[in-house]
Amino acid sequence: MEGFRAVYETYSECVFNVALRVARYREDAKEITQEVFVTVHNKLKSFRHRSALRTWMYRITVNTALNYLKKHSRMKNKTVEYDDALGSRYSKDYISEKVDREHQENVINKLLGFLTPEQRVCIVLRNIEELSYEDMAKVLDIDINAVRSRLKRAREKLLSVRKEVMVNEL
Amino acid sequence: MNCKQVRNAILTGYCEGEIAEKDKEIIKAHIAGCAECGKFEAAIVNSALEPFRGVNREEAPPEIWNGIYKELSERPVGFQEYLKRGVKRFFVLPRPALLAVSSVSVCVVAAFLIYFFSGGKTREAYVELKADEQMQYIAYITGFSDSINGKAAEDYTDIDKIFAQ
Repeated sequence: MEGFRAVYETYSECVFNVALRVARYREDAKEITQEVFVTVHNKLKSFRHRSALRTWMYRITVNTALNYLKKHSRMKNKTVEYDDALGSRYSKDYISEKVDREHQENVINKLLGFLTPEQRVCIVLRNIEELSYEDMAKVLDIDINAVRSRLKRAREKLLSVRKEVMVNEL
Repeated sequence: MNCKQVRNAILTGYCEGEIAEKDKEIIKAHIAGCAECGKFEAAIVNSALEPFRGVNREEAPPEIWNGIYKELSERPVGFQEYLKRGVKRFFVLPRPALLAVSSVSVCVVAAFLIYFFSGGKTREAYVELKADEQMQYIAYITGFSDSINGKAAEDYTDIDKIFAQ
């Protein structure tokens, strides 16, 4: 168990943060993180080092989070409506240089709420975890063009949300 | 490159440097001469890239480890899991050990079959029983006993008596 504890110490932060961004709720993120490490514990012996441990951990995290969201199907209930999410503060505030951390968290969480879970995973891996496109392809088990395509759709969605906000404000 | 291709590249790698150096220069030159594509780039940076820069990262709460530890240490081993582990362990044995286990298994099975088909008697027990029957028979025909194997003489049928003589 000591060896496994070391694995947990090394990767718990990135697993928890990915889970938190994809699920968007702390309690869900905690459950996902726990499930990820139980899975890792069960599969660690069969890990063949074909990919880096970090990539493997990300893959398990992403799959667990997506399955969790499907299973609990909370997405429909938790999808944030435009007025409720961004209101009139969003555009003015996040352009500002001195956005406070709490507000930034709020904005990120709400922006991610406009995306599908698969698009959210792409944005989280690329923009927050800063994985390369190649590593993202390995984590998501898709080719690099599919990564580009998913990112493109996710960013188009974020852009349309922004335009909507600006039109609303005028 | 036309505007559509440039915007496509802006959405998928240009702003992050995930693009060939040659293409990067072409796009850069296009944006310098195209106001609409310049606006599009700024919009993408503001709406899809900037909000996620320098995002706060949280430590995993300590109760997660407690939950993992509890789940792993208290998890009951079901019969299927137990069987699976046993089978797995058997097939990962090194070859000499596998050979030894197989030989012992064959011997045990053979011994069991011999024992089963001999009516549950060992050879010594069988020999002892036969010797006892013979002694009683000798005692009967020499007149020291009027019974064989616990049977009284009158209990025998005529056919038994013919064979007893």
